[in-house]
Order: sequence, then structure tokens, then C-alpha cells
Amino acid sequence: MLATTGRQWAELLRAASQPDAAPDTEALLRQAVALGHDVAPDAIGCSITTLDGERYFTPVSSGGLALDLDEAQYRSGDGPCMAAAREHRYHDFDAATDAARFPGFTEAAVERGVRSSISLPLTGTARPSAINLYGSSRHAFDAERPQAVASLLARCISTVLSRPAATEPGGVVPSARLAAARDQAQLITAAETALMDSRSVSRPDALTMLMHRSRTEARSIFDLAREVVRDSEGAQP
Amino acid sequence: MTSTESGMSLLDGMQLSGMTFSELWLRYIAVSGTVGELELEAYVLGLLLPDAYQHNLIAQALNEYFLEQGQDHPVAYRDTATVD
Repeated sequence: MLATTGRQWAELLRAASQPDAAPDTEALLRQAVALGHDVAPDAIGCSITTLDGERYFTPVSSGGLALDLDEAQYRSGDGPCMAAAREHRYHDFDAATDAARFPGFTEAAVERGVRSSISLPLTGTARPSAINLYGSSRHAFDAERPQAVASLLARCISTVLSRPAATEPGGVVPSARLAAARDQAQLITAAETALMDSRSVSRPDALTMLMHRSRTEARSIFDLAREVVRDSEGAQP
Repeated sequence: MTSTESGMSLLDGMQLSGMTFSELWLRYIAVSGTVGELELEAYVLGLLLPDAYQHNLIAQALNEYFLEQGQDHPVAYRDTATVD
């Protein structure tokens, strides 16, 4: 991972998790589509397609190739990016098998060395939109990691574009499950505090001790935390 | 100075578990993790480089899942100065 790319991801993630910070959205989107090239080794273009009334347009792209291919779709009247924005669902494209479905776009894609693409709908945006990724090989985005990175990128862009309606990080997790997880975290915190008192260590070191014991004793960290808390209560004068 | 023990990477562990990122994030919060779900995903996918502490929290969250499946900590931790 290049340091610059890591920094750009960090900035995008920060903006997505702090929707009230109101950064320069346009600059952020330019950065986000540049990160589209990070999704897979054969990713060679990234853009956003937006539907405004009956007109599709590309508010931002990573370069001429992505913009040209978006516009080839708009001219020919259909393509995977338009379909993803319009139907609000994931679309993939394989130049070898989808020529009949999107003839105009396929011709333009092949001319520019694009063999595949994926388009993911953006959620919560004012206008129907999708992020498009273009690849130079047939199965550029088929593997699990490219799919996961593309999904993360789409959700970051959705959050940036849909502010201020964005939810807290973790957004779709049911609140009861989150509350249960936080209860478990309180148990860990109580065990850390007990270890800090009894062993004179910092909080991070106390947690490291718990993780180390979990590993060496092949036990759940929650069992160990309960034990530590119980022992500390027993040791109270 | 840190080193990574032998074992699976975070991404390999995540893929083997079959969990969703939301499920992993809940497990990570339960072991007292603090970053948001999107940032956690970026760490697991290798888009951001976690420090050893953050890496180990994610590894612990994954390994808790594997412990429940009868497997013993297959995901590697990054060694920090161990406090015993």
C-alpha cells in the first residue's frame, strides 16, 4: 500500500464517519474516484453517473477513459452505469458476453481496452447515482477483495453525498446488538481497570495482557475478563 | 518494533469466517474496539495499515469467532512488548 493512497483512504473514511465536518465535497469526490484505481490491479477508470430528471451526466471521473465510456453510454441510450443508477442495483459488464445488451457501449469499451466493469448504486443521494469501475481484463472485479473494496468505496461516497442524513458509523447494525456488544466491552473495561490496579499497568497494556492470556490459554477473552473481575472483587478488603 | 506471528492475515481470517463486516464490527466493539465500521473494513482490506494494538483488537475479534467454532486463534497477532 502506497503511503499516499493510505492517506487518501484515511481522509475519505474520516469524512464519511464525520458527516458534519463539511469538507470540500468536490475535492473529496475527485479523491474517491482516484481511489477507484485501488479496487483491483486491472482497474483503469472510475466515475460517478448521476440521473438528473431524464438526463444522465458524470459529475466526477478519474480521467478521460472513464468519462468517455460514461458518455458513450449516454449517447447510445443505455449501459451498465446508467442501469445501476436508474434501477438502484449492482450491475456488472463483460465485453465478451454483453455486446447484445449494450452494443454501443461495448464497442466504445473494447476500443479503449476495457473488458469489464462494475457499477454500484449510491444510497441516500438526492439524485439516483452509481459509481462505475472499468477494468482492462475480463474478470477484473470478480474476486472477493475487489468486491469488498468497491462496496466500501461506494458506501463512503454515499455517506459523503448524502450528508447530513448520514447515520453513525456502523449505521445499519441493529441497536439491540450494538447495545449487547457495548455491554461486553464494559466487561473488558472492568477487567482492564482491575488489572491496572493490581498490576500497575496502563489500560492498553491491561488489554494486551488479556489478549495474550486468551491466546496462550485458548480461552475466550470474555471468560478471562469475568474471571479477572471476580478475582478482583474477591480481593477487596 | 513489532512482528507478526505465524497465522492467517486479517483478510484471510475474515474470508474464512464468512462473517459480514457488520458482524465483525460488533465483535470488535465487544472487545473494546473504538473505530467505525468503515475504518475497520479498510484495515481488514489492507487499505489502511493498523498499528499493532488495533491489529490485535481485530485479530482478537476474529479469533473469538473461531474459538466458538472450536478453532484455536488461527488469525495472527502482531507482537508488541508482551506484558505478563
